Amino acid sequence: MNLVRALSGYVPLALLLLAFASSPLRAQVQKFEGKNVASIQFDPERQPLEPAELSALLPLRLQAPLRAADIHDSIQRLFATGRYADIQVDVTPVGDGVAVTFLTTNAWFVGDVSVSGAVDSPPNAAQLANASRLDLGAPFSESRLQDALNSQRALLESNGLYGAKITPSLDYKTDAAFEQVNIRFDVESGRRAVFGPPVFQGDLKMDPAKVTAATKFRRWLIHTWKPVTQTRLRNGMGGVRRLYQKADRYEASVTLDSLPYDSNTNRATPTFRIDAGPRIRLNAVGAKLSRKELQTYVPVFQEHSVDHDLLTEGARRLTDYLQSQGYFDAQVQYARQPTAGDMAVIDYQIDAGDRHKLTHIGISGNKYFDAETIRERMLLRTASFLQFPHGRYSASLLSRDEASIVSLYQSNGFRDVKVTHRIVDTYRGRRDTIAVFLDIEEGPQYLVGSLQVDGMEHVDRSTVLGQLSSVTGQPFSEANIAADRDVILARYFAQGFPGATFEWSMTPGAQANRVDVRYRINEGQPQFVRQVVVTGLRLTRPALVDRSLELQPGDPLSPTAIGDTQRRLYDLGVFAKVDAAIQDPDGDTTSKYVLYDLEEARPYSVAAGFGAQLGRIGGCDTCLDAPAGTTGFSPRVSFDVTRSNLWGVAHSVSLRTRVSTIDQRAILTYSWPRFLRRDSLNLSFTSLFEYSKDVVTFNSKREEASAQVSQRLSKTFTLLYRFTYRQVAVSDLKVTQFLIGQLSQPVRVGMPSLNLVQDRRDDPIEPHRGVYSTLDVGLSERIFGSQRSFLRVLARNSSYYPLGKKLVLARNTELGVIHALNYECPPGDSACVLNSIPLPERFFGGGGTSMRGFAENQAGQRDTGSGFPLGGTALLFNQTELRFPLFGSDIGGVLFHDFGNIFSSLNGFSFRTGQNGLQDFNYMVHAVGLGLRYKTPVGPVRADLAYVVNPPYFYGFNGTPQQLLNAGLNPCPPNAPNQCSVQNSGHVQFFISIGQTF
Amino acid sequence: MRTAIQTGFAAALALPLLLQAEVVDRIAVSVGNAVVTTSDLDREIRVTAFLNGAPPDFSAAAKRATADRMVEQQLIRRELETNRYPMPSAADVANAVDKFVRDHFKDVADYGRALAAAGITAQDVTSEVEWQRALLAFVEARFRLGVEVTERQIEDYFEKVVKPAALAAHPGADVSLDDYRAEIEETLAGPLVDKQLDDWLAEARERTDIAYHDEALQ
Repeated sequence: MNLVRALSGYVPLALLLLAFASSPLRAQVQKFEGKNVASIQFDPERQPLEPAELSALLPLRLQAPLRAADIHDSIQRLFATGRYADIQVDVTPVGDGVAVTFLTTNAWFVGDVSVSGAVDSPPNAAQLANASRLDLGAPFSESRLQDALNSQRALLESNGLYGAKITPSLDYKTDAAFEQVNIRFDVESGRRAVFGPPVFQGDLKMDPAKVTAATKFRRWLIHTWKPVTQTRLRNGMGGVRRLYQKADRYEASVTLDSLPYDSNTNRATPTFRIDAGPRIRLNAVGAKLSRKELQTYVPVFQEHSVDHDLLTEGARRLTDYLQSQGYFDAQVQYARQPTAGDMAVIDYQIDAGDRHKLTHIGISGNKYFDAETIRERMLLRTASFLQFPHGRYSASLLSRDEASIVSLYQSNGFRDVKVTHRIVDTYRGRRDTIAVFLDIEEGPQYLVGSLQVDGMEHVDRSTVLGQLSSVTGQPFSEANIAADRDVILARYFAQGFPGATFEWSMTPGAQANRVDVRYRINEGQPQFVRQVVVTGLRLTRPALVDRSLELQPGDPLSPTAIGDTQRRLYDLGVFAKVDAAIQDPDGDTTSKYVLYDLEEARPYSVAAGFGAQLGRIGGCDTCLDAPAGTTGFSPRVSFDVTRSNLWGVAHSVSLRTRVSTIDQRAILTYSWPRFLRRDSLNLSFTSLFEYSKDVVTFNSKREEASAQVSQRLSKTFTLLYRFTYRQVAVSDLKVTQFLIGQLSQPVRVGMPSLNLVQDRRDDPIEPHRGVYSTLDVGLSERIFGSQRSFLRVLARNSSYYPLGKKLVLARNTELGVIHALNYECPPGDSACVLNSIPLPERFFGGGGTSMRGFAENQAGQRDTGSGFPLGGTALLFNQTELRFPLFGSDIGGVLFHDFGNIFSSLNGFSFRTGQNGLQDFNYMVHAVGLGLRYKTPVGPVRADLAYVVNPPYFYGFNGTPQQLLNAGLNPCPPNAPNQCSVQNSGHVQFFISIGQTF
Repeated sequence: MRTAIQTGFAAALALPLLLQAEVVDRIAVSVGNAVVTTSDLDREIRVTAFLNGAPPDFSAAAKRATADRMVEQQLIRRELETNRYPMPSAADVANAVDKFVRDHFKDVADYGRALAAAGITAQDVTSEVEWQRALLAFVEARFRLGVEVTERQIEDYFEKVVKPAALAAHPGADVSLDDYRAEIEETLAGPLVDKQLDDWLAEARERTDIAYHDEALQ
């Protein structure tokens, strides 16, 4: 406050007559005042600012009289650029004039900050780097370095590393051209201290041994002291707090006083100050509320404190809770009884009143918006089965709804809108029901009479004006003005005007309810990119990064472009961290360095996983007793390893393996993103080996190699060009004898294919609206090395429609056909027809994601002897779902209807719903069902139960494979009825998986 | 050898004189991206001394103290600009300066002679007066309104301090709290406002890059 006192008064005149000492400095300046400036020089000659910018900055001019004020202003302006740490001005007489020399010392800025050495985590290297608080591009100084070291030491000590040594290394050379210093902290963590027996001070009201145990500072059973970490210390205090909370001491205060370290014993002994406070009993009087409900709604349990505010908040939350349960008249108050001994009692006195049901919400007076538009914005809900059995109503919700309606109208120009409510009890004579009536008095709508925009010089005026809301004839509202402000300033920021400001004013227009609006833009000084500086590259080639840069020297300094470049660099997939910054953003210069400090990701990444599959996937390899599958359980292990950023050009190679009892798979993929230097192209090569039993009819061994180019045509369209070459062999066929020979031959297929994907869904994981379509066309031909020629077409279309606010109608149709080329079969030779398309190349389907009327891969044709599925060459699946919320916001329900099947051929396709005999499978199977969805971050967990209206019936063989082999061409009726039995694929199917069905 | 050193030392001393190059201004303290130069310090010392009626003190300690004060000025000036605090009007400042001149000088010429003797200009004094007024307005707006003196505190102070002093000065007089309430409130609020300002300045110093150039403060 000496500031004020020093300036606080005037003094007697007599004192002013005291002699003033002369100052050498004042004398020096005055000596040169008015002399012509003969030269202006800088020492050192190379300056951090470009000559043109220097010249523009300095008020000093050659051959102009020297003024002390100009020298002072020169120093101020140069320093304000942020590029200087020190500036002195020398003046030397030269003839009749003076030579002015600026003696400057450059400022330095923070570059790459890294931590190396023997860092014993926690804290890890990244945490230590963050603790330094040396931000990229910020001014660097010795004091900042000391602050960084202190902060890092504090972090290390809080983790028990009291003997840690930190040695900073400053690299001023590498990026000297940009005045950037790279800082490396070499850390030797040293030995981590262990906890000593904690010391407790204060009023514990509890056995100290019990409190010590609650800290969990000692190991279980062996009781040695654990090493000190920040997390253990925090958890220890949390444990003590919970201990007191369990003892109903909600006011207990637990603080860490000190953590002194003894280097002789390497122990850190925490001293805690504890004030246990009284036991507090919370009661609900007048209504039955469980302790858990009280704990949920009264915040004293979470805040570890009991005060008037928290107790009042508890009463408010309880009121809301009761009102949401239908007790709309509920009133809750708390009363704290005088503390008696060690006990304080707080009673929540609850007058719940009668339970009601909100059965009607009436809206009247609205003309501009229809009632449905208003209802969509409201939180009040009338009673509905399951979700809101009593409706959703409370006084606070009603207030918020009224405010929402007012806001809606005001943002559309109804500045005088008024909303009032009326609550009717026993609505229409029905007891315990209420109705809420909202009356809206819209008032006049104010429109923009004219819009005048001043000061907009350096952006495309017509483009900006086209994006504004407050144009002539449009509703006038402050919300629209705010939106316009955002549009205008965003445009300015994107074009390098960081200091642009926006002001607005309004005057009444010439006509009634019209407002003339005026925007005033102060553009400020534009800023430009001086240079883009990329640091931190070790393996990555600079050219790869250069291609991602959207900024070039001289471009407007656009935060949008800086952010876009950062995103593009992340998208390369080779950087663990991309720091972007403007060097010294506060410095008063027109051109700035844009900095990207990159941290390359580890080149190798490894992932291992365990899982299991449960479903109708069972049945032994050599049994024929379950052609429709049996319930089976298959544990699964996966292991992936990826080498990324190969040769520093962002290519990667990955090996993904999976082993389960029904599937063994290894996939080796080489990826080349941004193929041909085009963002929209990605190239990949894949080789695959798979041994699978996912179709119960046979085991297959697949060896495959493919090359694929994906091209992103637009935001919604992607085209995939693929060539696949594979050889598939089948074994353990469970079919009649005469088919085995042909079907068990290994087949080689070479197939180029095109796959077009259109994705216009609002959310790929859980869509509510939009369309998703794919079209896959592949040609297997001898010229591509195939042993069979066929054309394969598979199309899928899904669409999603919101019904009101909560419901979604979703549908999916999948249509496919495989057409054999150049393959002639004698009439009636079913084996030949079957063999025209190799068994593993046929369509197999059914299951949780295709058609829920079948278990996995059970749809389609079946072997007439064994009853095992043989797939088909044409398919149609159609699914329709009604998705709705069920309980709260996380659990939803689904009603679905699926129909479809896999057909022997396109000629066999039929919408018929009845089966014509036990060897006819060319008909539509229908299934209806319901499902539950539980929201998780990786998509909904799904459980579906389907009832199949018309499952296929077929003959199953009662015997061993050898007996089937010996049974001849037609083992089942009419030839040998006794060894076959009629089976079906099941009337009930059940699926559990993750993700929506489609 | 000794002769050579002596010669070199003498040459080094003589070199600046020969060149006649002189540092006429330099950074004394930087506060964020603003600076206080040695010429600013010089002027501040002179103006403060002029207003205080004391001889200017150009010692290192006085320069350091002045630099500290000017750092605080810079922090407050930045706050005034950032948050657009109202500044005193030119007329208000001119009136205050006129009153000062009328109260303390025979005439304008006398004032001019005093300024010249002090090595400062009328504008320097005007700027200082403007700054004082802006500062007081800032303190009032930013801190005074947030300081609450309770009725209990006022009554206590009245009973323990004011009333005994008033009775001692005017025995038998009727001493009423209402007569002193405003003054007591200001008296009690003063230290609280001071503390808030000090805390704010400490915090502002903490979050601002401030670098003293010690060699410029010698």
